[in-house]
Amino acid sequence: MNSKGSPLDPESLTELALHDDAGSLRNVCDESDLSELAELKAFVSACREAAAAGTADSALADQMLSVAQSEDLSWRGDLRLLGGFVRDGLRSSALLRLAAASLLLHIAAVPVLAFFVFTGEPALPEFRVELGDRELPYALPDSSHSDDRSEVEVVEQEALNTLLVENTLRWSRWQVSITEHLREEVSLGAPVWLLERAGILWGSARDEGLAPLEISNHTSAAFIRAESALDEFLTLGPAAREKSKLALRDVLQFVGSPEAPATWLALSSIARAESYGVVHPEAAEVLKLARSSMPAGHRYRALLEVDGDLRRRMPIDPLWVAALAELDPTSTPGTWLKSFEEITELGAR
Amino acid sequence: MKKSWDGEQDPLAALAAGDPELFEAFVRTEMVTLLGFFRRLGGSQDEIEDLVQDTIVKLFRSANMYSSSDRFEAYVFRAARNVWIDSRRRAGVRGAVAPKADDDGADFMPNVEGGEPEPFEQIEAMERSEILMRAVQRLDDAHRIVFELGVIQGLSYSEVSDIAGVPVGTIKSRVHNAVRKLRDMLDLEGLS
Repeated sequence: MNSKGSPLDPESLTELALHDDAGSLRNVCDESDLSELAELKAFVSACREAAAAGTADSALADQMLSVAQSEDLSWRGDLRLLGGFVRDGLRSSALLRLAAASLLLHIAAVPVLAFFVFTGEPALPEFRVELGDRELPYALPDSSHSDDRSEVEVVEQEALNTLLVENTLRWSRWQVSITEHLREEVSLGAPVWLLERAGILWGSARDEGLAPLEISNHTSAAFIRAESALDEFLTLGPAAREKSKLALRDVLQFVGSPEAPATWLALSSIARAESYGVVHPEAAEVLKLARSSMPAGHRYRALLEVDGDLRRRMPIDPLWVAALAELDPTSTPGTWLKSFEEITELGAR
Repeated sequence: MKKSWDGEQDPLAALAAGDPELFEAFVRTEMVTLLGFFRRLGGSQDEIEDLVQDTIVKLFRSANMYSSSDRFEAYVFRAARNVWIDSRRRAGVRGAVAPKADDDGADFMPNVEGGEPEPFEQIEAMERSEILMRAVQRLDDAHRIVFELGVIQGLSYSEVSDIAGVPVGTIKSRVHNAVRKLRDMLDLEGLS
């Protein structure tokens, strides 16, 4: 019901004026509605009549027909239409242009990604880098409240060492993994060079004025096993931990023996194992004792030191260089040492 | 439209069946309807002719996909309205094309051919057409398209609702408001 009391609202009255098929509404019109309806119909009729003015321009119609009928209805025409649509879209929207540029960039990146995926380059290991003092994950209490000191968490040195060893091992495994393809070209022959090293070491010890040592097969085998087990640990990780520990037990028996070169070999293997974190307490104690009792400038001190992760000069230690010099009379320990130091310094950078 | 094109007279159904004659007749007869439609929606004479051309091309291309279950008239105005919306979008980038109510419409003057009304009557009709056009162009876009389709072209509310993409109730309200506003405007101009 409208404001005048008529059951028809103005919208319905307009609809009735426009469409004859709305005639059912007419039955509910009162007199004022019928008058309004007549006026509306007259208005609509006048509008339609005014809008219908004009006649067709036959030349223009022919031209339009000719354009329409020359349209290419094949897929090429559809493609051209689509191209025009895309062009219009790109021209009208900066956001769409941005999205299209981003899409192109992603598509261009696909071959690059595929290259890295299919060349099998291993991902860099995840490192945790912590420089300088650690930032405490809590606020230190005011120093005047000394009673609260007991609540402060103490960061243990052992945790830092563990982190150092873990990172070292990740790095070493990654280096081994990226040189896997060299396996077929290069024979590592680890047991062989270890055996040679042990034999040559005997000669080096003789140069130092030590008594000649007849290294038995049993002794050589113990060192070879220990070094091989440590190599395995480096490549396989914790799976070779127990094997390394067992091999080191055999080596431990040579520490303090009258055969001085065997002692050096044993201590150097233990020091290497310590740097990997697989040394057992007894061996660690022996190593600690050897370090404390050895003078600071001793020539073989480097064999017992752990510098960061792996010993800096292992297996290229002075002993080894001296042995090589003995094999090759044209070279001297000094030149070997210098060249290897250059190599290790480059590697350290 | 000047005549009914539904049923057996459907130009697109005939075109899809391989008979272009009805489509050609449709273009010759109703081109003026489409020109008037776009003219009232706004634009220069060149733009209007382009819009009609685009609509005719669109209809021609769609013949193979056309379903004769649609009412042809509603189908034509749906295509025309889409062409107009596209042109508005493009114009929005270049700078909106405002309706040119002061265009003198010289290019739209009817041809004087045999059997047509006398020149004086034609001029009078053109004046009325101009008055209506100026008044329609003072409506906003939403009311203008609804008035054009629902009142001038006489499409049903449900057809207008389909074309404009708004509910029938909204169409009903917009048509009423558009008619009310135009009656007020045209009362002053002496058309109604």
